[in-house]
Amino acid sequence: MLYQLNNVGFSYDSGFSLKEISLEIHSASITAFVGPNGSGKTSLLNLFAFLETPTSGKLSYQSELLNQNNIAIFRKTSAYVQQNPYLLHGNVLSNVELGLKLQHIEKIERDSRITEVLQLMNITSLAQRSVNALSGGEVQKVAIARALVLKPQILILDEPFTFLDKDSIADLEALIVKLRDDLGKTIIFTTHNYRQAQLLSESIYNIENGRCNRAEFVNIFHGQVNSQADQFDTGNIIISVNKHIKEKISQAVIDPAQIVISRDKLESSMQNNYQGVIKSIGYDSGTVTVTIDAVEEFKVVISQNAFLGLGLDVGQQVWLGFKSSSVLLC
Amino acid sequence: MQRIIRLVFALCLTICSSVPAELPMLKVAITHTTDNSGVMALLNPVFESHTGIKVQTVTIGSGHALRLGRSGDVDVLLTHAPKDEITFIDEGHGLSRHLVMYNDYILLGPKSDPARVKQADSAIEGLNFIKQNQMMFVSRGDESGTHKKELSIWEQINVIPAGEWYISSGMGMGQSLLLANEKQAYILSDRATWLAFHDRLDLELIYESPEELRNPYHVIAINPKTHATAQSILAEKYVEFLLGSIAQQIIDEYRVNAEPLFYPAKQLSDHRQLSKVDVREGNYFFDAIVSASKLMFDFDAELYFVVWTSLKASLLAVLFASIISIPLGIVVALNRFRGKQFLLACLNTLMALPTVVVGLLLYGLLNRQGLLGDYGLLYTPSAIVLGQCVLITPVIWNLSIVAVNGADPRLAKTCTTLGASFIQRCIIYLSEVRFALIAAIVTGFGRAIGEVGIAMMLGGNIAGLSRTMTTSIALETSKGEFEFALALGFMLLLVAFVVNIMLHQFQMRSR
Repeated sequence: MLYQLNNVGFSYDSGFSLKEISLEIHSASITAFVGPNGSGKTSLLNLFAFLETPTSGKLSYQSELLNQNNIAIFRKTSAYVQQNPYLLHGNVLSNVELGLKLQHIEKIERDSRITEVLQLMNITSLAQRSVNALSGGEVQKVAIARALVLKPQILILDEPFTFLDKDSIADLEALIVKLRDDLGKTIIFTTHNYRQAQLLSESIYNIENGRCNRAEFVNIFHGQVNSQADQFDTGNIIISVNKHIKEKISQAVIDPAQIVISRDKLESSMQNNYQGVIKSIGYDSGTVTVTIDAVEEFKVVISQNAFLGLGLDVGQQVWLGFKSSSVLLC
Repeated sequence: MQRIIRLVFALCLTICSSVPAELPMLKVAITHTTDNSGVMALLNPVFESHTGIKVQTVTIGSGHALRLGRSGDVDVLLTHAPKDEITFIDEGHGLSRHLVMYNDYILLGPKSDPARVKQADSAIEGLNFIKQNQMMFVSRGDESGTHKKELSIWEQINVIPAGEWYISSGMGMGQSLLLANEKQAYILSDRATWLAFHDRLDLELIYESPEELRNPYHVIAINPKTHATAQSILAEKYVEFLLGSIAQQIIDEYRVNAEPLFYPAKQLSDHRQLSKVDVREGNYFFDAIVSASKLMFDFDAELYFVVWTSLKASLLAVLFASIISIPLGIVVALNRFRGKQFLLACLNTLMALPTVVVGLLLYGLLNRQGLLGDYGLLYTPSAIVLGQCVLITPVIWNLSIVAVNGADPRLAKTCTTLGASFIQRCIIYLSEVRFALIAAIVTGFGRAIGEVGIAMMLGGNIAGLSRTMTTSIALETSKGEFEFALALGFMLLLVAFVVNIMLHQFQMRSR
């Protein structure tokens, strides 16, 4: 067990606080925290990065209780990359080298580590480039390289996908998985995007108003793509997907809000249509979650008005449909 | 709206004017010595009560007073520069010139009298001894009546005074006496100022001769034919009053510490009447700008020496102040401690520290009786550096704090997550907010190079040693040498401009 939080609370002078957070994070895992702005995600990451100490409850790291004496030692085991990271003036090389210099690491060792991390991040060609000439994605990569060069056990990323374009997002997703699988790093990140969190992580936590709850994985299917790379086979059903260039695809995720329910088969442009039976209905504030057994189990989120209009009930036969572009592959 | 503006304007005029509009008013230029003596404060109210004419006095040196007379800015002059007064009358600017009173100049020096001036038979011989022995001599150097008298003595022995022994102070009589005291130098002074200052000085009266060193004060009414605005009728009444029995008696009976300061003109007469009219015409600004440009592009040695002295002193002051205050600024900004708000409030207050207050405080420390008097720093460029350093340290300190507080808020977290120690964090901030810090330094430099109080009080405005651009501007203006003063003003602006251009270039290159 890497982190263990028991009823952890943290409050600012401004009044905002994290409340009664209890969770565990294992080493060599990916954990995502999903929530809106101001929900407390960054405050929680500050605790994981040992930049703050809890104001109540207990936070243990590698079974050792966090206190003022060990916080500085613990801090060295983690690396934190802020949302929209700050790069110091100069070039990429000087930024990546900075942390090593601050820790008085020898020049030969510095050079070797920098070469390694630049190759890992695929930014060797940017080494001499001024930070002012970098794109948003490149800034993110340099900031992660600056963090990884310190060889931390834990990499903490605050909203790492926010300012990235589509290609950079795909690169970073692949990197996160690679860091866990190949280097055994523990990765903790925050995001707004639930599907992305589902694709990448073993554990997802919803965080809202300073409270944190474990989220369940929905509409996540394991399988493989066919040779034309336009279909995903779960073994039970075939899902039409957009053509992709990723290798080693093993998961497909569908956003519950992008699935349409109807009583009869829909005549539309949606490539995926399945018939199933309603297993259960869950009510939330303003929305309804309908669980449908269509060989594979799907969860669909619809508004209360739509739900009432359709007149749905448990045991009823319905059709569900979604576009191939709604399927995210990993 | 227009009515409101007029009303406000009228109100401002009423508030600003200390003189009721219905009273006729006479502008009189008097010298520092007469003003300091207090005799005018006795004479003018008597004149006002007798005639109902309000007197407004302008206190300046004789040279400057004559300049004001030439431009028609005053109605009457009371000066003590006989040779120039005669020229003034001959040029047609003055209606008449009458002796009002006189006292005498005296030669002061160190008690040990190393040049043996006490053995001299005349002031001429005394100054000759000083010159031959290369003993320190402080000259007013400001074209005042006292300075002109001193020059006339040198002229009689065919000496052009110059060299390390000859200190041209460019200051008023009181300040020049303090300088002579610090340097233990000889000085020619008027008796009135000596009497006012002698308690504070470690100098002695070395030579006196009321006949040889006579200091006559003449009144001159401005010629209305040359200057149409001159209040000649009022001026004549004033002249009449000063020469009349009431005023003469006041002068005769006036005492300071039981010593007479002036003698009435009853037994002496030195009147001169208007003989010819030759009025110089021209545009003040145009003439001044042309002369200023000429001085600058002719690379006038005196001008550039003054510029160099200013630059040297202010750059050194900025260097020392920056070394002290930038690290302090970063440390204060990055730390939370008890009393921080109080410290910030103090620094904000010290940003507005008057230069004269710094000058006064350091004068107390650096003069011969002061705590640091033994180092002999007073009236040297080093004293200016020290004073300006004290002046701008709070400025640069405060602006450094503002610079660090204005840094990107993500920088603090970046430093922490990269494991920077406190010192390393300070160095990173120093680098990241360098432009704002340079702006703080430039602001400090601007304040240092543009100040006059410290340079005057601690530097002494000594020609060829501690004369800076601002003290020189003050001196030249008081002498009426507006061209030189304006040339220095342009140089001051030029220096500020060059510094700003350099900063801009540095910023462009660093980006």
